[in-house]
Amino acid sequence: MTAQPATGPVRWVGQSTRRVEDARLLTGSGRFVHDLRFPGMLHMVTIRSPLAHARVVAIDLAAVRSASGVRAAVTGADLAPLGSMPIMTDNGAQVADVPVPILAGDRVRFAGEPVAVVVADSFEQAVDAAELADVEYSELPVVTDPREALTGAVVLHESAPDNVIMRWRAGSGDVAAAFASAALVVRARVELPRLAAAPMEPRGAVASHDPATGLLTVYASAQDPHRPRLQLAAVLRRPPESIRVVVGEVGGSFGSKSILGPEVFAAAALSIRLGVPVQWVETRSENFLAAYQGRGQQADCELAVAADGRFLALRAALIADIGAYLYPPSPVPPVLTGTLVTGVYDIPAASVEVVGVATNKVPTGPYRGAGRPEGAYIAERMADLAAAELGMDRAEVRRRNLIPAAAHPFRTAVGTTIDSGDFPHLLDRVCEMLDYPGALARQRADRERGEVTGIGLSVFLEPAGLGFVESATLAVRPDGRVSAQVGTSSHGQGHQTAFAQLLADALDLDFDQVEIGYGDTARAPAGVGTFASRSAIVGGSALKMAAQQLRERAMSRAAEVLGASPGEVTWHPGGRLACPGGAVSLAELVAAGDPLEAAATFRLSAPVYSSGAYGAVVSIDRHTGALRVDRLVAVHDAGVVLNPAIAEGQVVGATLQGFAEAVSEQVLHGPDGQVLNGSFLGYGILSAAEAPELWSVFTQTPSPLNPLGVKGIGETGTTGMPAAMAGAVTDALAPFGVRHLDPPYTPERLYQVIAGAERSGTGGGQ
Amino acid sequence: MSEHVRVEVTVNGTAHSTDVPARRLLVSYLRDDLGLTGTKIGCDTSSCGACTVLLDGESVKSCTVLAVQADGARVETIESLAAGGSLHPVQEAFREEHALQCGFCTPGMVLAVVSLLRENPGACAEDIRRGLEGNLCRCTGYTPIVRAAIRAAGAEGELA
Ligand code: FES
Ligand code: FES
Repeated sequence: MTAQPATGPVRWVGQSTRRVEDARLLTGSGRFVHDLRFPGMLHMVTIRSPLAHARVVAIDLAAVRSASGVRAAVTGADLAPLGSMPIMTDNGAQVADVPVPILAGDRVRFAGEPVAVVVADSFEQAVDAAELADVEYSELPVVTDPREALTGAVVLHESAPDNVIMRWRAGSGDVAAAFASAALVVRARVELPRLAAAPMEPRGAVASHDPATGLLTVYASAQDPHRPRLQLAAVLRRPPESIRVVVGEVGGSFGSKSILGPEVFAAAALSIRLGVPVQWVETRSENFLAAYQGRGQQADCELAVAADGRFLALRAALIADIGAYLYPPSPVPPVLTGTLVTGVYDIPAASVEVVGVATNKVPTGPYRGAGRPEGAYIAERMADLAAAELGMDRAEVRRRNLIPAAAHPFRTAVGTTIDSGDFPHLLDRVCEMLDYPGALARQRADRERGEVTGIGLSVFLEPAGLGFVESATLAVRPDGRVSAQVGTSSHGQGHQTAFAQLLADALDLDFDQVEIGYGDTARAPAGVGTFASRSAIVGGSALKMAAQQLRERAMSRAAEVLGASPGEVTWHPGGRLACPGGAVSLAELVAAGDPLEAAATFRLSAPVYSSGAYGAVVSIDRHTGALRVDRLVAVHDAGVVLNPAIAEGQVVGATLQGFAEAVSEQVLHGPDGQVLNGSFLGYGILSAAEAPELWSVFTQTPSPLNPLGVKGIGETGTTGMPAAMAGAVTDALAPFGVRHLDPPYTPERLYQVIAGAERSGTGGGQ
Repeated sequence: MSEHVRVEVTVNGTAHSTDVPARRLLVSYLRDDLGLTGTKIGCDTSSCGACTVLLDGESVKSCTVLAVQADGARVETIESLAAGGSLHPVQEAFREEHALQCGFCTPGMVLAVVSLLRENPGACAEDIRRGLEGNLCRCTGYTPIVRAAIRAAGAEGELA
């Protein structure tokens, strides 16, 4: 254990306490859904559409049903009538009524869409049987490009003849007047491609219905148990009380498991029908085909700039490639992008319009960042382009436009209110870490030698804490230890540790006198879950409030037991309550009387804004297009940090994801809608050998909106990296006449740009 | 339906003799026949290393080996590493360096590091990064894993 001072109000928060979770995960005893075994458990395999758009003419499962070991095989029609997962519209988006089907009806709209399922005694038998399915399709024309989809030549849903299935707009200020008076108007079309979240553990669940009690228990690989329970209730048309969801170990999610896959509902329906547990765990190939993807957003942007470099107004028209249907959170990322297009800058007028388009591809949804990277990418690309067109230094342009620290709470022209942050400090800090003037001088010298090098900067926001309510309950156990149940849930974030630190401090207990539980709707208080970097903020605050309540209750109980007046009782480390005449421990208090419990709910009034800045220096080999990172620095303001090792871990992990997004990741679809790189062989997840080293530091402006002063840290790296890398790469390629280039910056893409420029004589030195 | 074969294999020091379908992969044999679910499955293209185990002392991806191919061999899985209740130096180092988040890649990653350090006890950061190329982690960014491996190399050096 980390050495601890003996007493004091804060002993655990702020320490890199070793994680409680690790012992079980390191020894292979952590239980993920694929590791669960129940008596009589059957295995479910999904039969998927091989086509991206077709009518389903007939499904013949006779051969499947008679295969060895098969217990059932069903189509969507067999499972009807099921409800659908409600689409989230609380962000003000207008949406079409095109929810994801559980199993396809008479039409399939993306390659990989579930058409039928088979359950058998073993997984191998289910796989073999699935191959015997005879499904007759009649092919329909396919549209994969969202701009082409907007022409309406191919229509996915008759209720949306122009394929627009989502809309949102915002803005304020006199945009037209600002553009009319601008010295310069910068224009760009920018795009971040579709990405796969690709958690190392694919999606899966075990559904187990008990016919005797009517209780349906679903063990799910999910971000939390509460939202899945409501989804199950809506689809299966059962009261939530008849459903228990248990989330055990989860092998990563990155946003992709905030909604249950349709297959889970089919497994649950079959468990109810057959009266035995049904396990569904997808393969990696299925994860690439059928798990919702992230990003897939493009925007036409215009920035009005004054001669002195001040930004006057921004206009953005966003197109989101939503895919074949709307998952409940599909509208979330594009709207969040829309709220962040002005970035960290004071831009007095703005207007933004978001259009979500149906295409013959798997739907999109939140992926780590979920609109934050797209928003930062737009704001930072426009800042870079403004600098280039003004002939001004990129740090200087930013400095002239950053929202000053004293201006918070600052309301942007797109209606976002930023609670806190010191953006000029972040920029100064990152420039200092890069040795910015030195880096510029070195770049000049390198360029003279014919080298291709670039410097990139990004400053960004990470709104966190969305989904504003969370609860915690506490109980003193007979041995005097305090156990907590929280509504948020962990899939790698180390809540059991960070929350225990918080609770130990709040109650002045030792770290091993407290215990954190979560993930089971039968025990955990109502919660919303772990997403949007919100757990520490909302869940942690609820925990702190419950601890305060427990303290007060224990003190007044102690006063009764000791025959003292409440004011005489004092709380001592380790949970000892004393008055001048005597003392009592927490264990003695519960032994003497009723249970000692507390419960609290914290409601956050508005999102909390983390912020950060990245700086990157890259060089590109002009003969191969290979990109090398020479220096990568980051500074994050996540408010008060509960556990620095965990926070740093989030940053380093997210930075690699953001780096991979910039240099290698992109889900590719062919014109027929087939995924072209749906495996770890084709999709650019990076290995240890390719991961850059990051130099990262934290600064702190505590959030005024919660009692802990904490902010989010989960999505910083994916948010800041693409913009910084885009800045560095386009800077490197500027001598070749490149003004703007979208990621991923693969060697092929970079080589082609350089070779193309050299052929046309745009040179770039030498 | 499918042909069965007898497999005799010593797993974590215990001898097993089992009839398995000829096509059964070693990873399924360990997980489903022996109930050793510490070994994970993260892909279907032999790319991720979540299924890494030691076969006669060498790290292999157990999804690329048929159970019958392990006939007569000695297999060590993650369950064997913390024998006697205390963590192996590599496990200890992972814990100290925060080299795991969700923990799904961890059993395979730990065994890959164990095998790497056995082969090259003086491995430097570069060697470790190259040596772990076949083991993917989506959470940590690898830096803490590399640090853990270096720390474990030092610890094992002290023990030796
Ligand atoms: S499961 Fe991925 S390499 Fe074996
Ligand atoms: S710790 Fe999650 S994949 Fe490595």
